Amino acid sequence: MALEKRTDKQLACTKAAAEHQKEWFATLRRDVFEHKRPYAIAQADTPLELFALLDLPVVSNQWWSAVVSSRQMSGHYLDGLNAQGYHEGLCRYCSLSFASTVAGDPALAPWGGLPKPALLAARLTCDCIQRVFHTWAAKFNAPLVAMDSTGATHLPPRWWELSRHRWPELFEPHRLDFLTGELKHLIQAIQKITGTKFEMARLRALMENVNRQEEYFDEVRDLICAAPKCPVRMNEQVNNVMTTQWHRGSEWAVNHARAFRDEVKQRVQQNIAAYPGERLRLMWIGAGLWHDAEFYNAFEEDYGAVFVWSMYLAFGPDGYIRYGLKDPLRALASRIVSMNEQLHNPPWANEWMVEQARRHRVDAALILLPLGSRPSVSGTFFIQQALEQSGIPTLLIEADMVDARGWDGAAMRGKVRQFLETRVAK
Amino acid sequence: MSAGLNTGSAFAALSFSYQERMSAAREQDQAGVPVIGFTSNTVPWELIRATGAFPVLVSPSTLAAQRETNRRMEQWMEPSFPGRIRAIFSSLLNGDWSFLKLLIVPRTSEPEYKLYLYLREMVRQGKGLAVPPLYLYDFLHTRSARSRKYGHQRTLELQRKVEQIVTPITPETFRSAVDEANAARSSIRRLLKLRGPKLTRLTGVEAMTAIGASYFSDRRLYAEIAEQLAGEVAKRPAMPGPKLLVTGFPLDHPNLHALLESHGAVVVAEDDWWGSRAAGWDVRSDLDPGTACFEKYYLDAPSPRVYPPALADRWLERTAKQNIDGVIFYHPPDDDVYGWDYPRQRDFLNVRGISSLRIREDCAAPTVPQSLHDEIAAFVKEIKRPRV
Repeated sequence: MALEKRTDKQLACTKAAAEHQKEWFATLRRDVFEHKRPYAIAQADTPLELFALLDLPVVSNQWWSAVVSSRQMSGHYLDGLNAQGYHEGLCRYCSLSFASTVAGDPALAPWGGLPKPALLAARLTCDCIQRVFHTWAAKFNAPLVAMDSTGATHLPPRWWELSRHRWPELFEPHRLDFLTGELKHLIQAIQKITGTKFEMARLRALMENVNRQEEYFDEVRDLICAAPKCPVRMNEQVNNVMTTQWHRGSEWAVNHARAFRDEVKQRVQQNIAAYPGERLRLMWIGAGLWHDAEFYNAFEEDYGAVFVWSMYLAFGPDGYIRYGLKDPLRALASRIVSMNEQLHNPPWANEWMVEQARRHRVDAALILLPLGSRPSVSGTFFIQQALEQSGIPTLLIEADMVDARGWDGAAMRGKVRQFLETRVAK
Repeated sequence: MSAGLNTGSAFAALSFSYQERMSAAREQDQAGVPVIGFTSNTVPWELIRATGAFPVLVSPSTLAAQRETNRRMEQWMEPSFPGRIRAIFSSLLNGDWSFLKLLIVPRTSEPEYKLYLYLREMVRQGKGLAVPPLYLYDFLHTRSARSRKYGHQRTLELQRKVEQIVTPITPETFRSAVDEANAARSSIRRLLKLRGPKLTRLTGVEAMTAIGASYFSDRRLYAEIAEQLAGEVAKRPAMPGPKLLVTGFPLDHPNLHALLESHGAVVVAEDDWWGSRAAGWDVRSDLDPGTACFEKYYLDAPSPRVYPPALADRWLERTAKQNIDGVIFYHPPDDDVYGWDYPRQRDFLNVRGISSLRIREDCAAPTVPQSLHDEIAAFVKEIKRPRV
C-alpha cells in the first residue's frame, strides 16, 4: 500500500504559522548576513523569554532538528557526523542541528542553513548535551552558556494542579535559587552581545503575555476534550502551538494563540471534525515523528483512528502558566527547572499522561521509544504501565524522532494496524 | 594476563572483595554496624564513615547481573540504561540490599539521577518494598561559583542526613575516618607507582581488581592488604609489552584489560574512577567535615558531568604524554556519552604521534568476536614498533 499524503492544512492558522516561521527565519538570516546582527542557538528547555526580552533572536535546537528531519535530510547529516568519528550510538535529536552545520553539505540544509551564532545556550540535563554544545560552540568559535541542572526530590502528586499558583514550593526553593542564579548569568552573557538593559518590569509583562497565550491553549484543549469529535488534527495542533511557543509572549504569539483558539472554537460550534469518520481517539506520547508527519493521519480511513493528543498542546497550559509574578525571574526559573521530570520521568510524567488520556477520552496510546536518543527514552515503561493499568491499550513505536535511517514507514503502519485490530478496534 | 604471576594471599584477599562485593557489608551488618550504600565514587565516604557506619558501593558485578537478568526489572527500566545501572536497579528490587540504612545516589550522571527517580517510583507504587531508604545527593559538577555553592550546601545537608540516621560526627570520628580513607588512598597510589609507563610490575587486570576492591572493603584493612600486595609486587621483574592507557566508558569489570593483555600489551592506566583515578588526592582533616569532603569530591572525583571539557581532559592529556605506547578508547554499546569526546581526544593524540584504537564491542560479554581479537593484535603489533 502506498504511503498516504495527507498533510493538508485544514486550519487557516496552520498556514499562517508555517508562513510566519519561514519568514522569521529568512529575516534572521538576512539580518545576520547583511546587517551583521547577532542571534543565538539554544536548547528548547532554556528560557527563550530572556532572549526575546534582550533583543537576541534565538533558534531552538529541537525546532531546527525537526525542520532538517522533515526535509528528509537527517540521514545525510548524521552519516556525515558518524564519518567524523562520532559513533552511531550517540543521541540524535539534540545533535542533528549540530550535524547540519559541521557534517555533510551545509549548503543542502533547509532554508540556507544555520549561520554562525553569537551565542549558544543549553541546560545540562543529560550527560551528552554539554558535549554536543561545547563541540558546536568550539566549531563556531562562539561562547556557550552552560546552565547546570539540579535534581528533584520533592515530587508530590498532581503537579499540574500546583504548578500555576504554588510553584514556589513545588519546585523546591533551593533549586529555584540555583537556577535563578544561572539565569542571571545568561542575562549577563546576552547583554554583553546586545547591550540591551534587563528590566524586571518588562520580564513581568512578557510573562503575563505568556500566561495569556497559554490560557488560549488551555481553552483549545478544553474544546478538544469536550467536542464530540476532535476538531483539529494533532499535526496542526503541534504546528500552531510550537511555532507560537518559539516566540512565546510576543505580540504575534499571543495574537496567534487567540486566532487558533477562535478558529478551533468556530469549528466546534459548526460541528466540524478533523476527520468526520472518527471512531477511535489516539494519543501520541513522546516527541513528534518529524520525518514522517503523514504517519499521524494514516489510520483514519480504515479505522477512524484520529490522533487527538500530544504533549505539545497540553504542556502549554500545564507546564508554562505561572501566576504570582512578584519575582518574574524566579517564576521563569520554575517554568523550566523540572521540564524533564514533568515530561519524561516518574512519577510526574506517567501520572500526567494518565490524567490527559482520561480527559481526552483516549482509546489507545502510541508511545515513541527512541533508542537512538536515549535521554528521551526514560520513563517510557512507567508511562506504558500506568496507561495499561488505566485500561488504555498501548503500543511502543521503536523509532527515532529525527533519524529516518532504519525507519520503515510501511512496516510500522502495519504494526499499528495489527494493534488497532487486535487490541483497540470498536 | 595475571595467570603465571606470583599473586599471593594479598591479591587473593582483594580479589575476593572485588568479586564478592556485598561480602564485607553483610558481615558488618551481621555484626550490628549500620551499613550505608552509595552508587558512585562522588559520594563522600568519610562523611558516612565518621558517623560510625560502614560505607559500601552498591554496584553488583554486571557480569553476574547479565547472567541473571531480572524479568521484573525489564518491565520498568528501558534497555537504554547502562548495564551497571540496570544491575543496581535489579539487585535493589530483589532485596539484596534491604539491610542498608540508607542508599545515597549522587547526581553524578543522568542515568544515576533517573535510577533514583525510578526507585522512588517503585517504592511509591508498592513494588519496591525491599528498597532501602533513598537519598539524592544533588551534587553538581560544572565549575562555577554557583555550582560550587550549591554542591557545598548539599554536602552539608548530606552530613546532617547521615548524622541523623547514625550518630553525630565529632572532630575525632571525622579525623579517624579521614585517616582510614587516606591510608587506603596512599596504598592505591603505591600500587599505581608499580604500574607506571616506564616500569610496570602489575598487570592491568590485577590493578583493576586490587583498586576496585577498595569500594567494597573496610578501608583500614584494605590499606594493610594493599600495602602487602605492593610489597610483593615490588619484588617482581618488570613486565614486557607495550603500555596502554584505557579511556572512555567506566569499567566495573576487568574483562577489557584481560582481553588487551592476552595480546601481549599491559594496561598501565585508566581514565576511570574504577582504576587509576580511584584515589586522587587526600581529604583534609583540618576543615569542617562537610567542607573538607566537598572540596575533595568536587575538585578531584571524575564524573561524566565535569565541565568544561578542558578540565575533564586534563588527566588524560597529562598521562598520555608520559611514555604511553597506545590509548584504547572504550565505547561499548552502552555508551552515549564518551563517544562525543572521541574526535577531540583522538586528534590530541594524533598530533603527538600517540596511536589509539577505539573498541565498540561490549567487553563485559563472555566472548568477543574474533574480529576484535584480530584488531587488537594488529594494534599491539603496530605500537611495538619504535616511534619515528
